[in-house]
Amino acid sequence: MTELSAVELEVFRHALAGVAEEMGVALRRAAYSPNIKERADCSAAVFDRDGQMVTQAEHIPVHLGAMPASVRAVLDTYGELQPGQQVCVNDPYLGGTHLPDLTIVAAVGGDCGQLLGYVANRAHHADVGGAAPGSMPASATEIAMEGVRIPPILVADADGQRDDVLRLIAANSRTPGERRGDLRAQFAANHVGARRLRELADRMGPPRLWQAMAAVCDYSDRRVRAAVQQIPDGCYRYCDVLEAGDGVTIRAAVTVTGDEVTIDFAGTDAQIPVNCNAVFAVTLSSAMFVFRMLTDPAAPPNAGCYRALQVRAPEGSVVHARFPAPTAAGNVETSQRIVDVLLGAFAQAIPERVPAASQGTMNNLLIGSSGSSSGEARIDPFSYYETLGGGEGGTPDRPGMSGVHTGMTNTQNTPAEAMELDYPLRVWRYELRPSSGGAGAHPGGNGLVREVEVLADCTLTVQSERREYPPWGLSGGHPAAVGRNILLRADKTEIQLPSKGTWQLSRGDRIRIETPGGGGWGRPSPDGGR
Amino acid sequence: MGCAGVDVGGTFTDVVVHAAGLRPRAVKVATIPDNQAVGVQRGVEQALPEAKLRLLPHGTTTATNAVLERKIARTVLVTTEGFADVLQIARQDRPALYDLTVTRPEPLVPHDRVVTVAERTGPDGEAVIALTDEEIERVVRAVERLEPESVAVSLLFSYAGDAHERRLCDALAGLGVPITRSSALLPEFREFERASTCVLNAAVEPVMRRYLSNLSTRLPDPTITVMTSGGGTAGIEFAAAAPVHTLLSGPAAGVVAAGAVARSAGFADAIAFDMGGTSTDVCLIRDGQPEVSTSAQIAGLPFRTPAVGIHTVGAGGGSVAWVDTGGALRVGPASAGADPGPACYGKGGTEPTVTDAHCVLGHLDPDRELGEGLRLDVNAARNAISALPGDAGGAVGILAVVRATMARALRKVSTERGVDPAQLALVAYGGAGPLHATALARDLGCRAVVVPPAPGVLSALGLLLAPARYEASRTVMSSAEDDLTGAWEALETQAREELARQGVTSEIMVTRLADARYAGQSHELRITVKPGADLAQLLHQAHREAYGYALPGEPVKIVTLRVVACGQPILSAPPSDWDQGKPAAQRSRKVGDIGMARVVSRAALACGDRVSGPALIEQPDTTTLLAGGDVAEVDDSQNLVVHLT
Repeated sequence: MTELSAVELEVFRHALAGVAEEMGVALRRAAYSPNIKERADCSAAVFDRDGQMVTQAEHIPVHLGAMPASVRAVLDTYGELQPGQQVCVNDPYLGGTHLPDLTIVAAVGGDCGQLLGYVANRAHHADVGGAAPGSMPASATEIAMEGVRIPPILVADADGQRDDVLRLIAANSRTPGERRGDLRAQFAANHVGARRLRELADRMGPPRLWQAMAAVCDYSDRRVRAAVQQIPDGCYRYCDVLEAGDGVTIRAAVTVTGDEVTIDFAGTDAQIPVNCNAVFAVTLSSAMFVFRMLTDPAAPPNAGCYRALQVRAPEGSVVHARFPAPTAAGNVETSQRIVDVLLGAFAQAIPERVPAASQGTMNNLLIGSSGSSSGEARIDPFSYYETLGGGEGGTPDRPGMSGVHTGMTNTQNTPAEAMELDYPLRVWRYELRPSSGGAGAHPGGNGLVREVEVLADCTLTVQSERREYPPWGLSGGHPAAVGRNILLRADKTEIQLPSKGTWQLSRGDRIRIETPGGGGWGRPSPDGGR
Repeated sequence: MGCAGVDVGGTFTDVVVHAAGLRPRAVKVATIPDNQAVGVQRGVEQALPEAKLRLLPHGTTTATNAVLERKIARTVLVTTEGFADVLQIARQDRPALYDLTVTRPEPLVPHDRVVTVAERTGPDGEAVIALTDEEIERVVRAVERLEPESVAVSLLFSYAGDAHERRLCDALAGLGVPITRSSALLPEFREFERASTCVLNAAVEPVMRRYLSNLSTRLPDPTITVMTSGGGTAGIEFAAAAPVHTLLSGPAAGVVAAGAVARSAGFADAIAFDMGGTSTDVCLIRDGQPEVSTSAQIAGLPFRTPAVGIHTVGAGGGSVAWVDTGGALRVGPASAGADPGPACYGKGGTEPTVTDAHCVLGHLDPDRELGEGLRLDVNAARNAISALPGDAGGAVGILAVVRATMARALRKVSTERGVDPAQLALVAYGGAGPLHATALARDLGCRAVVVPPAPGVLSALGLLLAPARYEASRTVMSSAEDDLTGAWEALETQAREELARQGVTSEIMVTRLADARYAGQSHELRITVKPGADLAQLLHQAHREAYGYALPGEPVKIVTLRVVACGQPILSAPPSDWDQGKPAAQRSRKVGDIGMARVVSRAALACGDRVSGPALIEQPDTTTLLAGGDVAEVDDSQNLVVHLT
């Protein structure tokens, strides 16, 4: 067969991207949970017959490397799937990231029953059991406390969905009805993807489709390598600290040789029995995020984008955790620190292109109650979960943005007017935090202040980072202010809380989260650069 | 007496005149960017010198340009203490995941022009912290010190209880500058979106008011109305006070007309496909009406008003072709713009554009007058395209890539919304639309392509086809069982009175809509409500249609009530007696990608005539391309219709 021309390449790229985008839209439309619908904590992708990703529509970067890992685990477990078969997985130790993320992979068959490829989608489910609502308990010391683990398991075959398995999954959630709604949405998304992929095969013929899939990956590879060529050869090292236990160090060596990059996390501390452990898929996602940002952010998202990238991490370390380490915060906090470490390393190679450290945390805030019917007022059970933005690091071209999600997430906030309607909470302050960004020629962005009063007795969980070690500046820019978690008791006493933990609150107490700013870039002018 | 629809675009002001006893007439005059009113006056005088105008509905980019160019009033935002940065924080997400060069837009009001107020209203509208008279006085003085030209007041939970906002605004009125009160403009929940809408409105209010007063001085006779983003017209006083409703004024008129054109050709559902020089707008049409959503954005600044659901892609006739580092042929986002324009315009452009590809392939008449005595420069176009690498695909390749871009845009407004393209017709307009339409419609599997008789002035025509429209809304946060009769009736009265105030005398149609969701969900679905209907049942049905399932056991929340009141449009259907001018003789021309083609003048075609491809059907403002096998027929409404299935 003749190679794809410059025109065919571009035309096919659009067609393929449309398949994943349409899957993503179907998933969000049909999902029940706000987390998927509104915050778009989900993604969709298409794979070739060998499990190579050929396009992805992702809404948050932490799914970048996780989708291919899930498909790989499915194929390793079952071998090639038969058209019509679908497999679900969430096990962080077999292709997952943290337990709430459920992925469903579907084999797509052509007219003559031959395998055309796979479509898959991933969604963050609001609850998959475990020791606390939301399945991210701060106190977990092993993964069994975080919820139900699903190794790759067949959830549909040519005869349809396997309701027995789906019932088992739903039964392990605090909200089984919602799980069924979200799973239904995941099937609907795969259905849309399969139909579109078949249409492409009908139009082009399967052999040409497979050839084109390989060609778009080669194309992305060429674009990315062209960008890597611009990075000076060398080995660049950096390390940074996670505020867990007595401090956990993450180290990376980034080696650039010609048009290839190797990242090695050798020397990183061992995994620990708290939930900050990242499985390898999370580490890979973080590495891919930085690599994509610094090479060709617009290259079509497929396996070819990462062919020039090798990632190694020692097994049993906090960036390549083994069973039974708990992993819930590896996804939301450790991933952010890995990004910082890699940016710090790349900054030595291409200082003119790397931003200073951003807030480096997602400031997970969880307030909830199982409800009470005693006493003066009846309180319905509720569970409020949110992540808070902060300062973005200054970049070589501009100041950092303020009060924004950075790095591995990009979910929206909950409006105060929505919060107070839905929960016994009152928001007293939601503003930028002045002077929290690091000074610099391009100052870092400011963090946020969110101050919330609880109108009922309840439980507070905070999972945050950068409360001791500030986001750093670059090229002479100053570090940002660290974040602060403050409990204001109803009797006006003020207690500074550590970066993570769980506390009981009484009606009238207030929690004030002050999120970190971003580091400054470049030496500040004499007036401080603000 | 006549009526004139006037659409003020970036380059031209288009006028379409409807008067008893006259055939429809279209005039194009140059837009005067600094004072659009001058162009409007000239256009109207040229189009209808012999008679007086009774009605002048018009589309204007005054508010749009003010925001895009930031030529706005010095605005102060007044908001609740603790929320001074509501505009800056927005929804805390960043606009691009990986691309560091993309950043959020600066708010229209900087931090130091925000004044906060010690007060608090709770979610049930109750005062949590009372607003004192001393505080009001302090705020008024603080605002005054900032020397505002306009003030936006948006307090927390003002949609639930507006007492604080009202008292504050009454006091601020003494400053003698326009005041936008959020509970009047947008009594709906979500504080950022309400504040953003309110500030956009305040920032363009003085600009719009000045323009409209200028216009009514120049044209004292006709009743002037303004096209709103929602696809209806509004009275001049409403548009002056609430100009945020006109941010999509221009494109909205075009899709209203596209809907009417589709209907006149016998298609209820369609996609409007408007391909111009630098960008292309597409919009889904259901049952002859463009889809209207509750929100949109301009230059990254969101606002919540009714707005037609237009999806824009940055590719058009002027888009430049290039080969990227991976070896793929790309088209856009760079554009040759109007100056120098495509190479074939002979004004010094050297980069290969989509229009050059059409020129080289022979889609455009080489003898065509471009104005100022210029003709198409085919050689310049050829040179530009041959500067691309030899294996890039040339002119045919450029068009194939553009087609893929357009197909993706069309899918966004059809398949991604669960609409099967096989039910849809493609209504093609804009200078380049009809050149691409049949090939695209085939790619997508559409039923037909419709090219209206006057595709160059469709927006101006849309103004004659749009009804007066007003939407009254209010967040109620009730359950489905609550008795909402009083709230419905109050909104209906408000909507009818507003249209009456705007001078609407025709029969008024009222539709009730509700934004509803299941308790615990955070995304509302729009349902149409007949008086006495069971709202919960309606939500189940809408949920099933949109998402494939319903949850009959779940409690239903009614979030916002809306009442839409519409008058009757000036024209109920597009005119079918356009004067198409003098036909040129039929010729033939060798066309690169479709072979020897007949070249037919649109003016030579009468109702019922058929043209078989390969052919080019030429008219002054566009060319329709038919490949071999395509058959176009002129229908009773003068539309060119190509049936594809």
